[in-house]
Amino acid sequence: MKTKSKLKRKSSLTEKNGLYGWFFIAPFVIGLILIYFPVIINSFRFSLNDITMSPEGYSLKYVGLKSYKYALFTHATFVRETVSLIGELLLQSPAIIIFSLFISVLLNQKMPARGLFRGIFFLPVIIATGVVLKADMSNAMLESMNGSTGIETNTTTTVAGGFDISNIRAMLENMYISSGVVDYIVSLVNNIYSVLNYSGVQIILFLSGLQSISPSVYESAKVEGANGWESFWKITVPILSPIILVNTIYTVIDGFTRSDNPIMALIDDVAYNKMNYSASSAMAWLYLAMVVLILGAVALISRRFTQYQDRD
Amino acid sequence: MKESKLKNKLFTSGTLWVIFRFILLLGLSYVIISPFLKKIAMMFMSPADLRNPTVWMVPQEPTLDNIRRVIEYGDYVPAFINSLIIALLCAVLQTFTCCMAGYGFAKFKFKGNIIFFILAVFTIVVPPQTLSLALYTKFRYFDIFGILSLTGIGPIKLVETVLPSTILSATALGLKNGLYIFVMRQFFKGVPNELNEASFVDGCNPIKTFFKIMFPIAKPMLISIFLLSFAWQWTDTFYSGLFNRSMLVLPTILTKVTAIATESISNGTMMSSVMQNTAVIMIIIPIFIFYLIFQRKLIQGIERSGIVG
Repeated sequence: MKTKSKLKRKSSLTEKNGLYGWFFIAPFVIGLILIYFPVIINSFRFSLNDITMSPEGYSLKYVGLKSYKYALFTHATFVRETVSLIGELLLQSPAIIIFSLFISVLLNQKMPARGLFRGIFFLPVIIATGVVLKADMSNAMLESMNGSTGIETNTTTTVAGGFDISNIRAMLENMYISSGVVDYIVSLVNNIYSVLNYSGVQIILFLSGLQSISPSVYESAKVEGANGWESFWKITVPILSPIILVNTIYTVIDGFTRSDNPIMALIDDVAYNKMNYSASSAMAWLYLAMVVLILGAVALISRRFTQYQDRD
Repeated sequence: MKESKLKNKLFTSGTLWVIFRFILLLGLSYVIISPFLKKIAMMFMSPADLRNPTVWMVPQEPTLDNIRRVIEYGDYVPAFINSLIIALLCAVLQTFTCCMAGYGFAKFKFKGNIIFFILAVFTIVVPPQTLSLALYTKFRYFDIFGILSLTGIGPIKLVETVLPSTILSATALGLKNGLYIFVMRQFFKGVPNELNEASFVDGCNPIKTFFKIMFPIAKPMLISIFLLSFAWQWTDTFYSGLFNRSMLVLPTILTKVTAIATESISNGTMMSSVMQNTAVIMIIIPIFIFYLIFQRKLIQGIERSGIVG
């Protein structure tokens, strides 16, 4: 009898709490329903229609899946570039996550000029917005200065010249490491600039995740005899694992949607240069569906490794 | 035992490790800032330096003319003020609403929790470019389910004001806001439930708990989100180009400065790229300083109110 009443009270409490939950997400839900859904639906409608622009606005003519067929079967490069992009990103994403975790652990330790280092590692976030990119295009002057130094000034390209990658390759091959792994490592070293530039946000998020771990946890682990390596794997990684999940998802999303990736450029090009709005939005929707599928797979896999402290 | 102690010391606080760490960070920092170093050097070069092939990085006749030109011809000061207002407004609103939404998703069980959370992540997956046309028409002929038209007011034109950005920020639909919601949710999931229960026992309702306990705990995360949001808003060209073409914000001075440099000064391409570099550095420096100031608050050691693990 007693347990029954307790149960009942608890269920009404969670029900009430559920209402509070709606209160907290209310601004987002309202925006989603009033603004986002109509916009999304409108954009989807564009992909099913032929759009003709006129001074008074635009007019739509329903054509069904014609634009989708065009994107998949007629367009010369859309499918091919998408597939090669997926392969590239699958290789790059783990490197970005491991790299940014490593860097943020370093930046969290006490050292001279820590603030300045953190500031410098924040710069990629700004670079990634594209404002620097915009200025670098048509930058004749910088290109003429390029020859004299190792690292290119153009912010998008990789570190080239001045550094001979073949030595590393030879060394690794002499160590009997399989050529697939060697290729991977070499491509990462070659792309250190882009790996750095794409891990800005991840470093910031990891850093603030690290800040919320209380130092006393490490102290008590030390008392128990754990060394740095052990406390990293047994304390840092499990507590950070929710943030690792965010960063994994974000890295994938960012890889697929950053404005300098070939597909986004293609979609923009089809819309604004070829003036084919419906094909452009059909491509965007196809691309989106594929990204969502990949994200779902990534989320399912990485959820297994995530530990939440509030799990009962 | 002794060996592991030695290893431990080498790994965490040994001199070798300190030196290695410093060199590594220095090298990586160089990779990040090297494109900027050249831009900064060029910022102070006079036309004579630019033509002189022996001048490399260090100008022989340093000048502040380039900076002066950007301030004068690019209308730097009004653009700076506009950008500051918009970025602060959006960043504060976004941080707050995303924190709230993240808390709601993390700590409450209700029907639709998962669905709306997935939708929140979905909003970052959809690149804003995909929605540009639809977004513009939405705010050009702003209406809520046709209610405004029915009541006779008719659709309102909201573009060319700050309202579209404000509305998007207040409803957590701004640039990458799904990411912030996701981050806050994951953060609050890491906060032990005992804290909520304790504050409930002490007589706080969830709203009070959120403001009195959760908000202060989340400070490091909130600062990071605020900084990200501010930086993205500061350099945003997409929303400002879509909603506020006539308003002067910092990214617009890039095109302005180039156009003027090409027209008025002889040797157009060279000057225009110098002007662009100067403008880019002048756009980035304020956020960099802003970050240096705020990162002081990101110091490890914020205790989680006694409950850990």
